[in-house]
Amino acid sequence: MFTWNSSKQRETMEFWKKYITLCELVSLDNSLFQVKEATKDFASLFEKATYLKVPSSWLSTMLAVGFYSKANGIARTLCETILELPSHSMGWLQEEIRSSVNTASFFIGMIFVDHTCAKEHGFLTCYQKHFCLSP
Amino acid sequence: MSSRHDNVVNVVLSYPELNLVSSLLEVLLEELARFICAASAKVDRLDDDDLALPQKSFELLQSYGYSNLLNTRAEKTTGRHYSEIDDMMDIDSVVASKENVLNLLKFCHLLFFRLDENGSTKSQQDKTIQLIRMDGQKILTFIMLLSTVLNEQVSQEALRIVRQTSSVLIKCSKLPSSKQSLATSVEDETRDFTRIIDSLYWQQICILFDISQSQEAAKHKETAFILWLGWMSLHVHYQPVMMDLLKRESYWAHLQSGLRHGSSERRKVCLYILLRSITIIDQPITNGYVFRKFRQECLES
Repeated sequence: MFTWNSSKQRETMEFWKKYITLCELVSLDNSLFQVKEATKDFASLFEKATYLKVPSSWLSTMLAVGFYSKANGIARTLCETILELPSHSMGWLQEEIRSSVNTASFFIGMIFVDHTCAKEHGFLTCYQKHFCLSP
Repeated sequence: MSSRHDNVVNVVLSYPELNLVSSLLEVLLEELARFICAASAKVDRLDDDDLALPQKSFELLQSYGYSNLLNTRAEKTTGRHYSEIDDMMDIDSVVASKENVLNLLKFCHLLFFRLDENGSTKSQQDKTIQLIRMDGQKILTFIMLLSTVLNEQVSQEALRIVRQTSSVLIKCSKLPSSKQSLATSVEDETRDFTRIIDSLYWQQICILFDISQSQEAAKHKETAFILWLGWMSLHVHYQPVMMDLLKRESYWAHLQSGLRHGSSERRKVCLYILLRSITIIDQPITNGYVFRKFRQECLES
């Protein structure tokens, strides 16, 4: 679904501009440092998405772009950045998990994209702790 | 070859009679249609002849009244100018070859490029405006269909011309002309052209996405995104048509799919299209896209 709330025109426009900027960030080769620094931006984007009722598929698309990026270290850094976010910022994932068959590949990308990351956090812990869900 | 085409363009633009130039364009289009129809008629599979049109494009071509060209030779009755041009362009009127099609397309590209140039005199400009108003829509429609053939050179050349034609069409529709009817204002004309252009582009993009599902035409998914990018780069749209398109599930489904599954180049294109699309929106949108499309897509892949 694509939604556009005209009564929140300005906020919606700002949301999409930020979305495009962050998409560009996770798909560029030389943006490792910026991705590390963008934790707050991701958190605020995710929270705004819930507030504006933006379909969660757009958010998982953005993360998938980063997870499958061939640029060195982006996937791992993005993974670490997302795992640092408070759980309420990731509430949209519940909708995505319920609705999408992309869930499996999404989590494989997210948790197992890097062995060190997977070892450090562990799949079950991450799943339960960060997404408030039973596996 | 390009200087030869340049000469032909000069000859054409120096014709005093606008109707003559217009009917020349008509003949060129008919020649192109004849070549493509001939290629399309003899194949069972698209990759048997890379100049053949996919079925959907062929049906559209027929609906635009080019179907009779399959068996009949386009009449070139208007005298010495056409034979002069045929000679200059080295068109072999019997064989439907890639070279012939490319020659004609290159000529069209040069012609539109020239029409788009600044610094022409008032009378030339006026002539151009009239010409484009008479034939622009037909040319754009036809050349767009040519972008769906498998031959990469022809498809790419067609895309270049579509871009050039669209911008000339919009530019010309914005200029007042001495022969403009009192009943139609410049705004009305511009609105009319942009309405046609917007509908045409989306129709053509959908055909390209549709045919790209077959293995032999898979690369046309890229062509669709390039066409979409060119459309969004026009920056002039007819709002009611655009809002109608933006409310469709398929518009966002194709865009999101391009973002998720594409190369980095395609992702950049999709992000630009997304940015342009959201700046066009001026009404609330709630469509039923949800995740059905992706679920289906993933199950199929």
